[in-house]
Amino acid sequence: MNKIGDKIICECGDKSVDEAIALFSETTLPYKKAKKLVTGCNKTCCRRPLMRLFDMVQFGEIDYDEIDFLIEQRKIKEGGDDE
Amino acid sequence: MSDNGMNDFIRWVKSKGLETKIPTDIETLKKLSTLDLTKQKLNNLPESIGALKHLGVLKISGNRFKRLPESICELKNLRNLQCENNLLESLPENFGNLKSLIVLNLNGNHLKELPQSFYELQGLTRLTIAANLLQSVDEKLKNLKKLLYLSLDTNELQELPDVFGDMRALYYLDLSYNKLVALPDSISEIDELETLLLEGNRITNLPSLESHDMLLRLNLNNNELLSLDFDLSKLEDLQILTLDDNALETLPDDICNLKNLKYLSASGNMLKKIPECIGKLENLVELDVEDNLLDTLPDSLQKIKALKTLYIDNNSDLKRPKGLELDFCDVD
Repeated sequence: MNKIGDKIICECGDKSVDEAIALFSETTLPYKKAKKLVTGCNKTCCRRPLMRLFDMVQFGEIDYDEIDFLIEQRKIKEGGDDE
Repeated sequence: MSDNGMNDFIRWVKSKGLETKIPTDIETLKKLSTLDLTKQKLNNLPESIGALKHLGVLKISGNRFKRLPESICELKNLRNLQCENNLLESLPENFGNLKSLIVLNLNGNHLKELPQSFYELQGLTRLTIAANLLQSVDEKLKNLKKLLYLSLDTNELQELPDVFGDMRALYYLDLSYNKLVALPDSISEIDELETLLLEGNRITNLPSLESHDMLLRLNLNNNELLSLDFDLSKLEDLQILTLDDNALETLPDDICNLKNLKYLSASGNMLKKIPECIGKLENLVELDVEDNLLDTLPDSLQKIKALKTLYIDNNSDLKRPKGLELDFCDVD
């Protein structure tokens, strides 16, 4: 089990990185719809890590370190939930 | 050229175990034109990097740099600097000495401001500083007249000075995810603009965008728009229009004159109807009006033979329209 895979990618939806990967892998929806499967909401929360992860899933190769960096970076932004 | 600086650099390369990435032969290093240190988990660059006088391309994205050495400003031949996803809190004061820079990527750092010399980088054609913490940009940004591509998205900008008047060649402008409530008037003077992304701001009133007759893509998602108060039909080349998550109650009939429109998205608004003339959009491939207040769809929708994807869920009990050969519809 990858430790970064266990990390919550977005407080909205409370899904881990690995759970988000599974959801993105199983859908044919475009990002703007697929993100709701992870966040469970219509907000644009956690945009950078989520969008990057979606792209990685499409490409077929996950860079966990980069996703971890983007998750941590988001927390630095004030509020952190409206990016 | 300083061999001392070069020897210092070689020692640094060896100390970091980077011999497989970087030559350690002094004569080869003197001629080195490209250095790629992407994703090496480095915490700093040595001052001796300034000895690599022939460097034209420097890729240092995906490390842990909080600052760049002052000596980086001595790389007079540097044309392309890729420094995405680091932890930069500031740039060297003399950053503007990098007069040869054409492409600069500073996405995903922690920059709150830019040094004054930054605005002397007048050769820049592609500048991306997305996902930083910029609270303002100086009006001297207007000096960067050669810009073709500018991304300032995901910062903390509450306003922008009138800087676009001389950026005649700019074709891509991304100001998404800031805190803008209005746009500078000079935006209308960008003759060549093809992509304008304004998603995730607090814009209530748009300036007229009618002059942008070359615009291909316009994204106004997640703002506070109540209406579109300019003649949309002037955007005659527009192919992608996204208006999701605003407070629009209607779409103007002008929209039906956008003959080249392929993607129209207005989900998450308060639309009660779609213009009956929508059938005139003969090139429309995708229509997204999910999450609105629609109880009917216009009959003319059936005329759009190109339409393949339709999102209409979360309205007032809309059913999948008959007579269309859709590849996907989110309701039965």
